[in-house]
Amino acid sequence: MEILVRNGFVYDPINNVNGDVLDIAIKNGKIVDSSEINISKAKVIDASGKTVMPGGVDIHSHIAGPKLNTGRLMRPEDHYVSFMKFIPGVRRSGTGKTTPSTGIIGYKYARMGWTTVIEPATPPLETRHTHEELDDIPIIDKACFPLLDTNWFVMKYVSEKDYGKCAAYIAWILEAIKGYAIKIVDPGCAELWSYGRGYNINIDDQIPPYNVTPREIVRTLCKVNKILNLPHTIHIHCNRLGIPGNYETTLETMKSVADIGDGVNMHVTHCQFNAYAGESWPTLESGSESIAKYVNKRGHVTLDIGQIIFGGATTMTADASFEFALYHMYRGKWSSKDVEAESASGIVPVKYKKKSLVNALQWCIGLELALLIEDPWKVLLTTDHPNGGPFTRYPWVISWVMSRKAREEVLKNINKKAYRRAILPSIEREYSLYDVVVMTRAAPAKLAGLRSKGHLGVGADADVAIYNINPREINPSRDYDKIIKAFRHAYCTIKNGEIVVLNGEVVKTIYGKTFYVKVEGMDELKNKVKSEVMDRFKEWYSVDVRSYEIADYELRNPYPVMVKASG
Amino acid sequence: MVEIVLTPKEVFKVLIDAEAISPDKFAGKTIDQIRSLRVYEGGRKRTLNDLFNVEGDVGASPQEVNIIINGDVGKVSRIGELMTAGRIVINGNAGHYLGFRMKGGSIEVKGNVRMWLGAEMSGGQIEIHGSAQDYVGACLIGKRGKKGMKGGTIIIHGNAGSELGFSMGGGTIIVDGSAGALPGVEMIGGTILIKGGCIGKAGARMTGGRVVICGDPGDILPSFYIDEVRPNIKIAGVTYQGPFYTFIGDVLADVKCFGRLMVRNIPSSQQIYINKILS
Repeated sequence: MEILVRNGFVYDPINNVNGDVLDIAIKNGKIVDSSEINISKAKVIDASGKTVMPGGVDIHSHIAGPKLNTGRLMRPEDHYVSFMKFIPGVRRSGTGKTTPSTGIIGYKYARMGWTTVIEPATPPLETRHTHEELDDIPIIDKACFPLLDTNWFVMKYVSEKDYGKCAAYIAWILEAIKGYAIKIVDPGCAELWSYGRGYNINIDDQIPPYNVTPREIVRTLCKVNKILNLPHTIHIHCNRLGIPGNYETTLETMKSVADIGDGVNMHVTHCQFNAYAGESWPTLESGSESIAKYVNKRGHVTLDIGQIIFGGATTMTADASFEFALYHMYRGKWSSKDVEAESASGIVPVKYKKKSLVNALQWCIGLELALLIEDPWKVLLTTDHPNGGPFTRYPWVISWVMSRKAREEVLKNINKKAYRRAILPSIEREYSLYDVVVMTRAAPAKLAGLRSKGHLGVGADADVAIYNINPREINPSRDYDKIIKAFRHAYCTIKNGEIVVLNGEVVKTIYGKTFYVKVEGMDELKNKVKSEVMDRFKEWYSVDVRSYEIADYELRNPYPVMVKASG
Repeated sequence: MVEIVLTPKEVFKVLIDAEAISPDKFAGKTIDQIRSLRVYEGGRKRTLNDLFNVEGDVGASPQEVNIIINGDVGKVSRIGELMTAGRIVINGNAGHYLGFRMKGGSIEVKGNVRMWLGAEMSGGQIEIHGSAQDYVGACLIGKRGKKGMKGGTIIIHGNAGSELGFSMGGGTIIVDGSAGALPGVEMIGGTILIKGGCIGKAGARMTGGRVVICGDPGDILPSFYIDEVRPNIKIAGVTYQGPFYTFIGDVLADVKCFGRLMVRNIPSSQQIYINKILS
């Protein structure tokens, strides 16, 4: 199918296009030069007076996996809030707001103009389930990051300081379970949680039984990441998440890998939850300034904000000990699980309130991070769906970073103490539309190493979002409602060269690719490690290694990304 | 008296959504209009005439509508949904959600019914000559400010399934046979009378209302406390001879213990302990 998107204001930061009026030509699912398509046969979309940008990329959104399924079971009340109707031949039905059905996830992302989403935490043992669910999500392209920090094999190699073997093991496991990058959640704490501890573990505390420290785990995995040349950096959820005074731990974690390699070497995820100053909840203060200062000065860290949204949310994380603490704060529902020899997880439904000091400050801290970090390439937009709020609220977050007036509208109603303590009311900065495109499309695609995503150059995947925004008429600072309206329902979303959304409604269901990493090289070491793993596997796991590995044919649309290991 | 008679044209193979079969929907319509009412067969759009032979006549207002269904409609859900008046008689089995959210009128079933009988109803009367499955007079799971049945009467001459009267707020449920597990779970008000026994855990997390069990109550939850022994109790104008051991609870749900659990037979394992307290 050939498509020509005509006369739109094109935003493409990777190719340095800033609002120029251009035509975008699409052929066979790729973006091509306008001369290559037959205009008389092609479907022409008139985008004059509209904004054309690459499809959105979200590198941190919990959209699949056993924990999400448990969340769905735990929250029947969530299914009353939202309902999407079945339209024969077009889309499936579904329910749920913070824990939506698989169908709804794909449709709502596409409706907002997002086309690539990554599930950021899946225990390797449960990844078969994650892939089953990812396969069921329509339209979007996806990938998943396996949790590797508390894996017993990794901890063993970390304690032996054997980088080669650790790299070979991770190369094996990424290919075996079709993962994409290394996810680290509160390094080491899941192991302590199986002893009933794990809350408030700092970066230099010892983790039994291998007696490694979180710092060693992070450093080793960062080095391994460099050895394997993985497309994404290490993806860290830092220690002491959600504990006042944790910004120091976050800075310490950032500093711990400062000397490894050059260029970006770590991504700190949902940094808002890790940027608290103060000593206790009543004396909570914003630590965003120190973090922003460090990130501005040093080029090796990127982060995403993990903005909270006032209203209902379902927190689900592999940081099980923190969820236990959270359960004692909310006294509602709680679920906890231990994944043998690998990880743990917990789920607690929460509600963020405007009048609560802590929640209001959390809201401010997320936006402070986005606004105090000068380079939009270093800070990405997420709500850590569904921990901070549902992904469907991205348009509001965009309006808050683009308009001071929109922020003040919310700040008027928040807790007065929080208003006085936060830095946000004094920040005047407003993002331009170009910055927002960087933050939501170009930067995440570049950071995740997805070369064919996040831009509209020749050869890129034909993932295009067209919004009803005329940048020459709309002033986002004043007309923030129009920005919200436009981003909520894209005028048109093109995925893989097919029109999937038109006038804000889904018109076609297609299924996207699942990216995973295949590491070439290190064959000798890989075989050695594999035989070692086979020996241990019977001792440590209740499943056979053959059931653990996932074959290509088990995925709907696997797409290997080849990387070559150095050394 | 005018009647309208519905006879199934075939043995139904898939579930049918028929909220159209209700005196409120039929009232004041001609027979042709009634025949063309929308029902869903497994998600496919059908008319009432495709599935039933419809004969007879109806009155102008719901009070004057008498619906007789001759035949097995065990796969037909949501009959009598939101009805406010009138009468439905089913000579056979009925499906899920019979009398769902009904406000008045009466329903009589000669056979058995499936789940969610009289769920969230606020008035009217339902009489079942056979048995009912789970969630009689319950509220849908996950509903905010949850409250199940708020008023009216359900009489089941056979047995009832599990979670009878789940989070029920008012009205009366009378079961002549026995019930499954957890009768009166999360109950707020109203009365449940089970003339037979139940599997156990009666009144779990109840904060009001009363559950009366004449037969074997299974085990009584440890969060219930014995309060008194009553010689007899009166429910819906009928006196039942005791003695009834009255427990208060559930202390885990509400320390004020407004819930009442009355049983005629105490399990033998708890007999000695309770006698000691009472003496």
